[in-house]
Amino acid sequence: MSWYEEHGADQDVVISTRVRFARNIKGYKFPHLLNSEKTAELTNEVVTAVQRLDPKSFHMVELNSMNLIDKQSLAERHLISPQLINSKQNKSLLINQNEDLSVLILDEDHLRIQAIKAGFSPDQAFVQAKNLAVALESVLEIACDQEFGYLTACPTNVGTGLRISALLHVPGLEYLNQLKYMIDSLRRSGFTVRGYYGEGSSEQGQMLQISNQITLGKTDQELVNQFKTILSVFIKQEREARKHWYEREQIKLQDKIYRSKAILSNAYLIGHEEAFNCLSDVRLGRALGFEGFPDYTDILTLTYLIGVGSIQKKEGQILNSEQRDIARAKLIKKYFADFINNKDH
Amino acid sequence: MLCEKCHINEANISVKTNIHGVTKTYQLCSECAQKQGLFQSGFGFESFPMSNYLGQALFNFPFVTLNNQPKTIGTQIDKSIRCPACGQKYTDFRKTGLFGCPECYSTFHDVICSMLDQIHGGHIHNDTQIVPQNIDVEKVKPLTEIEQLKSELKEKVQLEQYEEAALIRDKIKELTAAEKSNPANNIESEIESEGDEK
Ligand SMILES: [Zn+2]
Ligand SMILES: [Zn+2]
Repeated sequence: MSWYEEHGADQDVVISTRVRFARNIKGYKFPHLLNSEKTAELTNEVVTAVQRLDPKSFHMVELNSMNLIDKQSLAERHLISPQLINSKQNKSLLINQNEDLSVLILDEDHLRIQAIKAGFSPDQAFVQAKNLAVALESVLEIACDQEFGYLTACPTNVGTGLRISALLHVPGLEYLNQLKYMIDSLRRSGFTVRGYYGEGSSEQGQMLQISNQITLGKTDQELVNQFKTILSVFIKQEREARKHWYEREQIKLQDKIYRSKAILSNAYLIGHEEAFNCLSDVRLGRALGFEGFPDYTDILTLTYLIGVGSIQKKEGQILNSEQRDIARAKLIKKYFADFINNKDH
Repeated sequence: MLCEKCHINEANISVKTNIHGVTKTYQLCSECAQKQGLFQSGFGFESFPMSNYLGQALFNFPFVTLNNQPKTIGTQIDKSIRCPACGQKYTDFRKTGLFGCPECYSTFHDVICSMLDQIHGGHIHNDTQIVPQNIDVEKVKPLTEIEQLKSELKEKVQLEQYEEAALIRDKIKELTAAEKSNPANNIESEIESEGDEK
C-alpha cells in the first residue's frame, strides 16, 4: 500500500506533509560541479551505505535509465522535482515500498532525505526522515560545520538542512478573498508559499504549498514545532471559511460541487487542469460531508493517476494530448462508476 | 520544564508574544499551544471574527519569532581568491547561487556570515540536540503481531499472571513456526517489491 492510500490527520484541509533533510558528503564537490566519474563514485558510496543500514527496504532507480513518462510520473507524485526530468547528470532515487521514505542522490545537494505522509503529519514525517538522516550520518562522512551546521550547495538550506512543507486545500479562504492576506502574512513570518508543483508553479486547484524558509539558528525540532503552530492556525481558518461559505451560499456551493462530480462521472474527454479542479471541488464536497462522495485517499490516488506522465504510464504507451484526455476521462468515469456500485452493495 | 498551561506535559514550544510592546515568553506543550493559546487574546492572537472576512489583513502569526542574532558588518571579499578544494571563485557563486563544495564555507567564511545573516537572520547553527518530546517513536513503526504478543507476554509475567502468559507464549511459538514454514510469505514480499512500480 502506498502512503497516499493511508489516512492522516486533518485530511479535510491538508493533503500531505513532507520533511526533507539536505546533506552533503565531505571530500566531494557539490553536484553541479561533479564529473561523471565522481558522480558514479558518490552514488555507489551512498547506495552501499544505505544497503548496509537497511538492505531490504529500499530499491534504487536511476533517472537516466528511465523514460520520460516514468520520470514525469515520479515528479507528479512529488518524489523528484520537475526540474530533474531533463537533467543530463545521472541522479538516483532510493525509495521504500510504500514510497513514503526516499533518498534522492545528487539533486542540488548530494543527499535529499525525504519522508512524505498523508494529511497533516509533521511529527511522523519528521521522525522518519530524521531517523534515516541520523543513521546515514553514522555510515557516511557528512559535511557539518561547528558554526554553520550542515553545509549545503545553496546557503538557503544551510544549518539544519530541514525543509518541512504541507500541501493544503484552501477553497474556503480563496472564496472569501483571504488568501493573499494570509500568504503575505506567512511570508512576513518567514514561510514560503508556492503552488501545487512547487517552485515557480501557479496556484492550481486551490492548492497551496507552505514551507519553512529559515533553516539556520533554530533546531530542526523548533522549526517543526513552529510550522505546526502556524499550520494549525491556517487549518482552523480554512474550516471557518468553508463553514461561512456554506452558510452564506449553500445552494450555489452545492451546485458547483455536484456539477464537478457530474463532469468527472460523465465526461468523455477531460484535460488535466479541468480534472484537477473538479477533483478539488469533489474534495470539498467530501469535507462538507455531502452524501456519496469518495474518500480523501481515493481522491488523492486519482489525482496522482491522472497526471500527464502517470496516465501514459498506466496506459503503457505514449499518448498525444487528445488520447490522454480520453484515457483520463475513462479512468475517472470508471472510478466513479465503481464507487457508486460498491456503495449500493 | 512543565507546560505553563496544563502543568502536565513537558513544554516543547516556546511562545513569544508581543502585546502593546510588552514581550512575554511562555513555555507550552504542543497540545496546549494548539488547543488554547492561538485563539485566546491573552496570548496576543486576535481571533478571526466573521465580520472581518470582508476586511483586510488581519493575519499575524505572533508565535513565530525570527532569528535575531548579532549581525556581521563590513565584510569585503578578495575577488581573486579561489577555494583550494574546488577552484571556485566568489563570482562563480554569484552566477549560480550555489557554492562549489563544503570547503567553500571556510574559504569565503566572512562574506558567508553576512549572507546568512540576511537570509536566516543569523549565521550560528543551533546544534542543541533535542530529543523530540512530543513524538511517540514507537507509534511510528507499527509492531508486528509477534512483537505485540511479546510485549503482552512481558506484561503478564510482570503481573504474575502465568496462565495467561503461557497461552500467549504458545501463540508466539505457533506464529513463529508458521512464518518459517510458509514459503509463500517470502515469495509474496518479493512480488510486492517488484510490482510496486505499477
Ligand atoms: Zn500543556
Ligand atoms: Zn569549494
